[in-house]
Amino acid sequence: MKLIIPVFLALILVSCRNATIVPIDYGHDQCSYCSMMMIDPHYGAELLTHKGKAYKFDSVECLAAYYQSRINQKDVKSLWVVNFRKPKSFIDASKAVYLHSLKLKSPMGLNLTAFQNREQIKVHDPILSWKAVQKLVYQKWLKGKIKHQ
Amino acid sequence: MKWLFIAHILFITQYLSAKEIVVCKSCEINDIQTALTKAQNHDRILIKKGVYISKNIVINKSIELIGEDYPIIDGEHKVQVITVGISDVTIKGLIIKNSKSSYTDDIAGIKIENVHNVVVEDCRFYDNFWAVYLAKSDNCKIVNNIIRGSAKRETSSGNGIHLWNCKNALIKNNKISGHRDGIYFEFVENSSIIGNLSEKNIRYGLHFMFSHHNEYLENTFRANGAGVVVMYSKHIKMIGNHFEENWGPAACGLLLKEITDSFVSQNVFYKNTQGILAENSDRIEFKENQFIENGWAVKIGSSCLDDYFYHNNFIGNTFEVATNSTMNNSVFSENYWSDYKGYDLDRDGFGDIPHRPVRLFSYISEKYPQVLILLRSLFVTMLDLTERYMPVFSPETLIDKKPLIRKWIG
Repeated sequence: MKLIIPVFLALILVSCRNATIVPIDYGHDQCSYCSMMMIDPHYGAELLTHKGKAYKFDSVECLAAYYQSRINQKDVKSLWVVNFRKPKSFIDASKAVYLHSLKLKSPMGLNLTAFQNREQIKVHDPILSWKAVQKLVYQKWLKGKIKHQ
Repeated sequence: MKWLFIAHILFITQYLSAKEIVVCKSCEINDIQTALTKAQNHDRILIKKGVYISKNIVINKSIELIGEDYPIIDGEHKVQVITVGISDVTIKGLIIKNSKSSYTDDIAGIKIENVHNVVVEDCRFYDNFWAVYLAKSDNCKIVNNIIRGSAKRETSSGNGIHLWNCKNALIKNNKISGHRDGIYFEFVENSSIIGNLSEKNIRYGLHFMFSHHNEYLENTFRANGAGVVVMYSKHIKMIGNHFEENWGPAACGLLLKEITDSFVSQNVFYKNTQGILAENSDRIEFKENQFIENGWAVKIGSSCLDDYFYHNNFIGNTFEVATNSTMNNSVFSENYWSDYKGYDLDRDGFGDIPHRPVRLFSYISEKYPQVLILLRSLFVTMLDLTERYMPVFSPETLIDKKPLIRKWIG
């Protein structure tokens, strides 16, 4: 009985930790937007809320769609995307650059791939900013059919 | 008549001009690339038993590439084993193995790109990154192949049969295991998937994305991350398939997401964590399916409109139907529910009182999955019982007014 109280306290404290990126467990975790199992460590994204909850996504496009249609943007603390050149490592979504090219097919079919900077990109195809990515996803997926759940 | 005669002559000369080139280790021609340079269109290259190292074989003539006693074409993990760059090619009876792995270039055992009428038949694929990869190719057939990948949990593999931007494909009687997705369709139309066995793939047995007007019939999907995932597609026929043993915290037999106007009938869902999980899926007919011993037989999101469930058998599932809201826009009628507690006093074959397949507890566990630990407790049994007699939370319309008293047997 003496043990139980400290264990409980410890559990409570653990659950109160600050918002940090939770690593994606590829081959196991599911995307919060499209429910697909995440499998390609070159792709992935994460959204952290002020309350400390982490939502995981399998692709840049799912993050952009979720951010624009399923959550109050005031609750969002930060957005992260996986760097294609460094699988499983995250970079700030607003500072990343996004290649839009058929040569790299992203998990959700919009062919968006995140890189740290322009020097990492070796093909000559359009490079988008985070704002442009949101616009593209809005045009392709959300326009006229945003369903709030 | 004269024309017919001339046509006949033309056909015969055509036939006579086609020759057979034999490749074997002790023959004059002992590698496939040399045979290809010597071949003309419509020739047949016969490969005898043996091991042939591929330095990226590119087929650029419309030929038949036939193996005798399964010769091995080995890519030694360095190249794409066979590339088909021309229409009207048949590949038969080969063992194709060890393609290079690459995340950027989609390297495959056999890659078929920008062509028509290619047949891959009776081949075996071992340890390829992608086994068969079709891009922008119409009227292709992938039949009777055995495909084994060596994918570990950590995602180091492509898909077994991968189609991107294709039309009128036939995928029949293949056995696929150990890849990322067994069969993957992206932007594919008017195609059929028949009689395949897709098991033990890391992610999905079969995966549709943005692919309309397709059908998959009489396949078995066993012990994959999830059986079949159909997303963002319209007009899909899913008939007579077996979805078995897809176990795991989020695993399911059939995941439907943003599907419309489709037909799911005569399938068997056996021992899956979730039989069917449907979100944002409208106008789908679920008919004559068997749901046996699943965790959740059907999970249907409130975002689904006008789905229709009838003549299904729900037998021994922990939860029959679960939903995530008190709204329901689907119709359940004339199904058999093994949890039904009512009687049929007027003997018309239907239970006298409606059946409520949603347990209150399934509603709670949808919101707080952790409470599942209380599943078999007395408290939960009482909770469900109370809800059954005085429904408060369960969706008013999610009831089967005419539950069958006996199993539907067609």
